[in-house]
Amino acid sequence: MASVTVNKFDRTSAAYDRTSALQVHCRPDRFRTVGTTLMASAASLFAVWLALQPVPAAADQPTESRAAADPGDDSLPALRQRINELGARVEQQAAELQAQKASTDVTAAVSDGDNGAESALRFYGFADMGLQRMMPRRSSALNGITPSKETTFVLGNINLYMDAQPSRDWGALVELRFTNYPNGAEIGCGPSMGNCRRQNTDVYDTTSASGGWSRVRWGSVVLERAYLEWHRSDLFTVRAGSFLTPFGIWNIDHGTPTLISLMLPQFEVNELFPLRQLGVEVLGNLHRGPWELGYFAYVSNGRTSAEVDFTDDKMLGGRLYAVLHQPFRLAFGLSGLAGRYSDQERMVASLLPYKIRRHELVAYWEQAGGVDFSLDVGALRVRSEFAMRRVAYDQGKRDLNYGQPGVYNPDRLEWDNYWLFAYQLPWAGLEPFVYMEIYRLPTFVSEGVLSPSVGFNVHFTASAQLKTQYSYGKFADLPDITSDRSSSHNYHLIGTRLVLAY
Amino acid sequence: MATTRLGAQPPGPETDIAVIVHASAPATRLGRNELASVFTVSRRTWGDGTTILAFNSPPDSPLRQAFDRATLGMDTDQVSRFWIDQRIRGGTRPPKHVADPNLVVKLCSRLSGAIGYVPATLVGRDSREVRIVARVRNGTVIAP
Repeated sequence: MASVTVNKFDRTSAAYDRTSALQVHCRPDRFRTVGTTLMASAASLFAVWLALQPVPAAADQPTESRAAADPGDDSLPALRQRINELGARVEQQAAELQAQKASTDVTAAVSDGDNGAESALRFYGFADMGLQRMMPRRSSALNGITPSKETTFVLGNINLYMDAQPSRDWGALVELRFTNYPNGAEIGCGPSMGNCRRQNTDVYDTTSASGGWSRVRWGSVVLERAYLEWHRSDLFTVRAGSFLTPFGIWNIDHGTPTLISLMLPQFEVNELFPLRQLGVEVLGNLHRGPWELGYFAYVSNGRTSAEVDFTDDKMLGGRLYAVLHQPFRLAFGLSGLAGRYSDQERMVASLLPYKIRRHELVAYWEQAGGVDFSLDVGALRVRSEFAMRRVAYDQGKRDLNYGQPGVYNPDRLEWDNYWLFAYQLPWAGLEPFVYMEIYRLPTFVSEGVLSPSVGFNVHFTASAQLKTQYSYGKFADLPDITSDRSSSHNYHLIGTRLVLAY
Repeated sequence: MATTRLGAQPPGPETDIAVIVHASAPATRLGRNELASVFTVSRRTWGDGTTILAFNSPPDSPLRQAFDRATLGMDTDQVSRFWIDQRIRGGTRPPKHVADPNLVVKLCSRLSGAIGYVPATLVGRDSREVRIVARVRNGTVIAP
């Protein structure tokens, strides 16, 4: 390509020659730039020429301006009109400015809702830790599963919620519990078994800057629940994932800050119903006067021994409730579920041809139902539930009773009933409570257990409290609750927890 | 329009609280139960399916405390506990806070589905942008 430069041309014709040179060897876009510059210069000159011209006649101006500028008598209405128009325009601009300011204010002034940031992702949770002492009788079978009979500090729940709401109708909730388990968990223990093997998760911290021979104890995370949610209307919300079974009062209240007593009912501890399920749940509510009526319905894998279901028989369940909010809070609930449990193993039946055989080890049908009642009148809180579960095993597919070799669970009807009365005193946030529970669960020890209990909560603030409870466990041959045949297994349990919601 | 700010002149028991909604909201009158369900977020949609956007005053404001006592029958501590319980259960999020009642009026006038409460002096009876659906007078919810 030619590379003629301006310097090679006569200085007197430099402008022309420069342009020519550019035309010769420059890129077209640069030529356009130069052309634009020239046009701009011409436009500037034209503008200067226009400015030097006399003021145009009124006939050349727009109608509005002419009316405003006309000094004649007939121009007064036009002037008024013009003023009105200008006034309207100012008002419009003021309104637009106000709207802009309002939208800015919304983001600046609309702050968090109660107890949480109103953002797409929120973190919150609760923690509890304290002391406890389990005191089974020397002859109690509970000695076989109680690692310590001494007073011990315990790290209870450290739960973290991750609550996402990326849009108005969509959300997700994940609740994690952090724990030091499996460290210290015992394997092979049981009421009639011998030496337990205790897991130890201590490992050398090879990443330590101190050389790698310090030790660290690793723990784990319990997935309490994790679901996605779509809210269509008050009557229809869908959740998919792992959700807490909507059964009774305790499993919905769920957390230590919300529950009244420190110790859970026995039917909750022994999972008369699966505490959480993997599946799809729909829920909704409506209001009729002072009453709120609601429902939950779900289909799930049910109770499983793995993270997948080994059968196509899904668990179906639901809950109906009615809540009176005024002038006091009164709630009734009805819960139920039915499903099939199956535990299987696989083995190679033959290599040629290759065949896998699945063998069902444990299988049973279960149905559970419950009614619950709660009442809040002033400082008084009353809770009660009755729940029952029927279990029917397939022939030859029973599981072991508390892992005891040769001791199998029978077809059975479990049931539980408790009453809880709590009253908030006007001093120091003190709330004493009494609790009585009777639970029928046939085991090799007894037919059931009675659990009278007392305790108190101290509400320091809305989010901080101290919970203390003493419980006595009396094994009995229900319905004869006075029988002492199993009294050698009785126990005392006392615990206290400092609880904080954050 | 008056520009009384809540912090400067807290409403006394004799001061009316006006519960206002966007002019298009399908509600002309709300009772105590309905207000309680809206502000505890157990009701999240209006009758026509529009999402309810409820705006609360901050918990420490006298306006909020008067409103909560009248509609929910709860004091500040009980309301705090209520929302902690809701959170632990995994329930819905509480209404947003708006500290300035004037802004509540603006929001309710611009956002369909919005509902809030302000000192009654901030809202004229002939307002076309918002509608008064209830009043709180002397601790009682009354008709607008």
